[in-house]
Amino acid sequence: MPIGYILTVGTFTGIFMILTVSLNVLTGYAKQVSLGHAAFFAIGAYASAILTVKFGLSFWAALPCVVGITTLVGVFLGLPSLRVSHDFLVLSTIGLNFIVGSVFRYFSFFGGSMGIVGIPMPEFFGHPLGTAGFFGLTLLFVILTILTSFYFSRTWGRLAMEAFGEDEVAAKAMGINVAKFKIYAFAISSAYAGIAGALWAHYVGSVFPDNFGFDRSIDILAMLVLGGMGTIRGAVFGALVLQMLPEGLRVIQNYRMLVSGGILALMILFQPMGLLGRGSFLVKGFERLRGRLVSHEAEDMP
Amino acid sequence: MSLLVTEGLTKDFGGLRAVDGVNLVVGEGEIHGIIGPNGAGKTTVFNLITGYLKPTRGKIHFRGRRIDGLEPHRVVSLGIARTFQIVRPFTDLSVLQNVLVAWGHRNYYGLGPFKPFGPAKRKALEILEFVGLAERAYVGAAALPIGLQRRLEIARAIALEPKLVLLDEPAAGLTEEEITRLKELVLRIVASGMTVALVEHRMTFVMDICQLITVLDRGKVIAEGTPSQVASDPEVIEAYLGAGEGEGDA
Ligand SMILES: Nc1ncnc2c1ncn2[C@@H]1O[C@H](COP(=O)(O)OP(=O)(O)O)[C@@H](O)[C@H]1O
Ligand SMILES: [Mg+2]
Repeated sequence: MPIGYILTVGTFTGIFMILTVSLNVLTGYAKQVSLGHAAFFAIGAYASAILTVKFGLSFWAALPCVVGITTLVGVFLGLPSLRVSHDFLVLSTIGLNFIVGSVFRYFSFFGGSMGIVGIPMPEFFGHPLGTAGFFGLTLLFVILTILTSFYFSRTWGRLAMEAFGEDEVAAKAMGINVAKFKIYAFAISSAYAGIAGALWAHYVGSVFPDNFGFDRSIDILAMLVLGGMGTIRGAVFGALVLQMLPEGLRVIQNYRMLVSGGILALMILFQPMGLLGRGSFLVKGFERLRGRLVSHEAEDMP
Repeated sequence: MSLLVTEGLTKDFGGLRAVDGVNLVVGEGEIHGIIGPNGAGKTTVFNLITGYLKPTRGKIHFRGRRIDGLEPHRVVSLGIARTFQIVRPFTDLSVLQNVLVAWGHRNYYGLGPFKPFGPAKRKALEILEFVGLAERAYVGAAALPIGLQRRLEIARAIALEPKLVLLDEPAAGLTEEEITRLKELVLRIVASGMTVALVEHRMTFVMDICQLITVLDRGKVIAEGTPSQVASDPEVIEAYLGAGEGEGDA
């Protein structure tokens, strides 16, 4: 296997790890199930593409703007969650994919169906990154995402999200401004997804509306659910498995939607906590091995 | 000094007047009982005070400030905590984490949400100690029997550091022994500087520990006074004997 191929697979896997860890904040902690995460991914990719190609910014100068834009978009697109219950939220997040896709397809500013091409590789001390360099850059962002997300998992904000995610009425009685924290969850989740989008755009070199459809959102949710909602290790593991599997088993590639959709449905039915989630059979077995029934760690929080 | 005052508090649900012109005064340091048959409007009064419902008419003052119409989390920040008639523990969280969520109330503003909750664990354990749940701190809240879930609700209410604690049927579903411990806990809560208003539909519990009792029937206050005054009030006796036909138009 050529090293370039391995690095490319590693880069894409890393990008999806950022996406699943970011979705974990929204869906794992705050229990806002989103089937529209690819929309935030897309907005990050397009924002970085436009800022670098049309406005001539460097990758590095564009990145803080991208994060700012996706954070704001997260706030805005999170607003419907204040008005609808969990079931309807799922429907409205499905809608996000199509709204964002349509905007990119039908407005020439976003390149229409021709997309945006010629997105430059990030430079490092004046030299464009190669495949290995970009893999290193992605790895750096994966580590930053995991570390910051791990820090967040031990904060009051995470606790508030867990609380209203389970019971909004009780959470309000604990002094939690549920509306504000829902928006926080969308904003934080979207900010990370924006970074993933920027990385994707600059690695691939072009963005088209079809790159970020509904099926992508299903992929991302399937990864998180497979690994285990509510845990960072689950998010990372799910992305690893579902991103690598098609590389090992070429036939799967033609049936990606079937695999993602099938895994999502089967896991929700039979192992809703995922393979490495809290209280999953693997984790329970592991804890029994360690002779420890209740964990005090924040990561295993609830 | 009166801590909480309602004036003409009224709530309609469609054609049903669940709370009808209730004037309630809860003084500082009091244990104030609100009793009345099922459906009298007791829980609705609590929901109005804590911001879960907006009054159709009437005002609510807390420490001299209008609070009707405020969001529940704002009411909490002003110093009113509540428990629920049907317990609502966060079942995905441990007992300790349930209390932490409440103790975090001051950190849910500004940059607070981005600060770690770890250092607060000691304080949360102290609160669990206070209500007698410390040895269950690391158990999942769902695993607690109902009596202990009620105590967990009280622990969370205390963790909000309120001036006023509203307990909605705290004795429901408890054994005699648990009720004795609950009385003792309520007395300790008041001794530590909080005021308690509690709802019960059974008289005995309230008679034992409350200084003042307000009796509701069909949304209206039909009697008010000390336990002995209330217990000898003919209208109260009638309401409680279920002789509901007699018009309670007091
Ligand atoms: N949210 C609501 N919508 C409609 N009716 C309600 C609602 N909450 C309470 N009620 C009605 O208001 C009346 C008083 O209820 P409640 O305050 O729960 O009584 P209590 O707590 O004294 O048993 C009852 O007739 C009840 O059915
Ligand atoms: Mg009630």
